[in-house]
Amino acid sequence: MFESLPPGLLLIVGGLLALVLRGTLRSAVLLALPILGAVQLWWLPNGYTINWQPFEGYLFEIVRVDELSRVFGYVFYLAAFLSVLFSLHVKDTMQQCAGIAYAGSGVAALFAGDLITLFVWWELTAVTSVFLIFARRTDRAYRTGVRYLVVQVLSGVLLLAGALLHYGDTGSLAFGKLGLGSLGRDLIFVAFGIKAAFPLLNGWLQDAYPESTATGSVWLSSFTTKLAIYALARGYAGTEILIPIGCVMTVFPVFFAVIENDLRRVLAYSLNNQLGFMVVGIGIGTELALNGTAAHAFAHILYKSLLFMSMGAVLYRTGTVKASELGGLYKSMPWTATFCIIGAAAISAFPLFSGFTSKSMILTAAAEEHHPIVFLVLLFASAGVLEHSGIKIPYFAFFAHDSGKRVQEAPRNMLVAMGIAAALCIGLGVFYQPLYALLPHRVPYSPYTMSHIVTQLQLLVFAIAAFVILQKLHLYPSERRATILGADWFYRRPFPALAMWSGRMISAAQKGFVVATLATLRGGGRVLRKLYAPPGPLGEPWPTGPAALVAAILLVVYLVSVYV
Amino acid sequence: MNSTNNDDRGSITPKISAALEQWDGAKLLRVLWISCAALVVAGLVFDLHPHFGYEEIPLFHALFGFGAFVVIVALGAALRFVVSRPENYYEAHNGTEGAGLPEADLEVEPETGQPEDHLRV
Repeated sequence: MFESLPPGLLLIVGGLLALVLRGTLRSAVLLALPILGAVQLWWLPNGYTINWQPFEGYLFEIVRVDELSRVFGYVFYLAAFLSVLFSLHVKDTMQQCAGIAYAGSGVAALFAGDLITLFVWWELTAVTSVFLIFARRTDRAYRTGVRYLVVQVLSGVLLLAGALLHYGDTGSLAFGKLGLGSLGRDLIFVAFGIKAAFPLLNGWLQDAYPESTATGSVWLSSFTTKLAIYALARGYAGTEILIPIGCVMTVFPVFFAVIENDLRRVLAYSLNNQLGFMVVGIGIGTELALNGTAAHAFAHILYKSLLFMSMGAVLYRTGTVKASELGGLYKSMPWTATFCIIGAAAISAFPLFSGFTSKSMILTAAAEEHHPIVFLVLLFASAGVLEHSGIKIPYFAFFAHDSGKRVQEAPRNMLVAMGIAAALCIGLGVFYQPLYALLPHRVPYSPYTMSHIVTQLQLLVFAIAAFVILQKLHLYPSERRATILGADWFYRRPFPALAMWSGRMISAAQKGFVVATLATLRGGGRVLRKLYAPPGPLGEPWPTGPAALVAAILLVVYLVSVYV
Repeated sequence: MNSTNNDDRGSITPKISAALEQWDGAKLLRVLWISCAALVVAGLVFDLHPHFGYEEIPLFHALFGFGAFVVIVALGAALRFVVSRPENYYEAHNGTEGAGLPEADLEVEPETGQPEDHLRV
């Protein structure tokens, strides 16, 4: 009976259960669920499927377990456990239920064997996760949440449309290797691309994640984007366009992160950059590259949660994560500072940390497939990671100039969660074999070669030297309070303005139409009255069809301009 | 260390604080310069199995890391002129049209009155 449940469903049920449970019992249940889920996954063999045929011709593969979904599944459960632990002190039922249900739908989506099942869970991740943004309970968070939801649901709608078109083309709903080349498969690609934060489709990520609660952004950072990476790896491995897309993703956020003042937004840019590495790996598409993508997603979820946790702890204690207002916090939050430095070292891919054992695989794959420019771009982006996540985050939060803030260290549950994540960041850097054993392909690969270690250390250490020298020369840009415009600007400023404008145009046109019609009626009235004396058809009230249509258009324009 | 005295996480916490305190400034810099020197030597001594022609430039990765960092910071700073807006940019113009104010119009006063030079390294 245990194995006949779709993976992830346990967490969703748990989310509903948490609605009624209180206190310690709720905490215990929430902590136990991801562990139970992971045990269930361990139980299920590769190749395990659950099929459902509601009517002739439609076969839904609700569950399909294989190597690729398994490795993502384990790390999703791990992230869910850490997120529960980190937010254990939160007394907000909405957040706790939404968080665990969100993780559950993310897991369930990983094991969807067909596109419609995927769509259902895909949309549920959107609907459940938005509450983690609403939970901030500010007007700003509410507006951000609605924008986030619109974009996420749009991704789902594109997925559904693509799936149906694909079914029309092939008669199959199976979610396997798709590739580009038909409208349906292209739409699915865009749907995945929105959630994977492709360039220009990334606005929602930097818009929404930093507006969530101190604990909410830890949940958010783990699931949605990595689900998209999984989906791309499943459907579009070896699709070459992903290589340039991924390269752009690794590079452009780097510049924004330099000047961004909100440290959680810096992390959101950094997240985007890390996704770029994975997208490049998928685009290269060799077994080593796909292993690299899966390993990097695994390692990334842990160090990115750790970094979001440390900034969440800072936000929780000080009420802000603006670099311009922080500094010197290591004095009062030494544990958080230490864990943050470990996360920073892991994301920067220092040898002996998890980022090194995973990212080097993607770089090696790029080298083996003879992509000299891609290799150079990834090296450049690696220096960028060091800049914003390796140095900027820990330096401006915990060191730099002393802001004078003296606060309490983070609550114990937060520290334990950060401690476990930090231990895993080091653990996966040193004992990487268990992770490698989980990877989808059997490819011999050894991260610790002299060449890997020396070249990576050269890159990182000399980049740090550049930072020190720039600081000494007062050339490093100081932190300033500002809004840095990102891709979300397009739908936050010109689009609503355009909607307002077209709304006005429509109502003007409508007015003109009415005036013109009335004039025509008045002029032709006499003739018409002769032709159609009451109770003739024109003697009836104004037709409701066109009026309803105009009203509907206006309503859509109104909704878009108000809520987007 | 006074701030951590009322902390309930045992005596190791102040030690971590003290260690972090010790490791700033000159000590850290010394480690950095020694590592740079060691990596230069290592780069020249070991065969680093270059994949591409450009990797055969001596100390390519070190030079590239340094150069990339400088370029990133410089381009980032330049980007500020294009995409930086006042902090309340979106709120101030909610539901209205028109471009945001140029950044210079909203130069924020330093919050804490800290000296501009905030280097610890």
